[in-house]
Amino acid sequence: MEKISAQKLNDKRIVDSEGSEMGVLHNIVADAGTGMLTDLVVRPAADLDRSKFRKEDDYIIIPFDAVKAIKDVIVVDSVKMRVRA
Amino acid sequence: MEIELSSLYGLDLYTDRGIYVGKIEDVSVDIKEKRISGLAVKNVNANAFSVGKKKGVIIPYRWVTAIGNIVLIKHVRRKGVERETVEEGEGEKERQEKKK
Repeated sequence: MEKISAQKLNDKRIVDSEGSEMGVLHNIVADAGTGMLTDLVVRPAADLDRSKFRKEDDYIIIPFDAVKAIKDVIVVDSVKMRVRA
Repeated sequence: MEIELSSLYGLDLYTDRGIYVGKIEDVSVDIKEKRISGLAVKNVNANAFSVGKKKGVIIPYRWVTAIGNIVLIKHVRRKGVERETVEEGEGEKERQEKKK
């Protein structure tokens, strides 16, 4: 279950550990040398407060370390996701 | 260097000896390890890799040496990736039997 096609993750919904909807996955950023996944690029939900996040154009960036689970939705840790904001 | 995974889709894959391998269709990621585990390649050059009836091959990410306008991987001598591991396994068995 650990290995997933990255294409299938596109447009997956992202919720934080408190259950709030954050947006949908737009892309994943990785380090080309090591292959380590570093960030999620997220198309934020309309009502999301974007001030606490790193931003890139219309997207917000969530560190991959905040990811707790990926199944039908992507669950991210509400505390960790703002570390680099 | 940081890359967006979607920028890899459609890139051509060559070995470091200039042999065409195929086109990247998808990226396999390992969620637990938080890293890219492999590149799913289609349109595979049959002279470089024998894929049989399968649509493509998954190239382990550790073979990747460079990513730019194209992607380079380490040259592998044998034809089939899976066959290679099988042959190695058998060779190991023979060696152990000889020891006995």
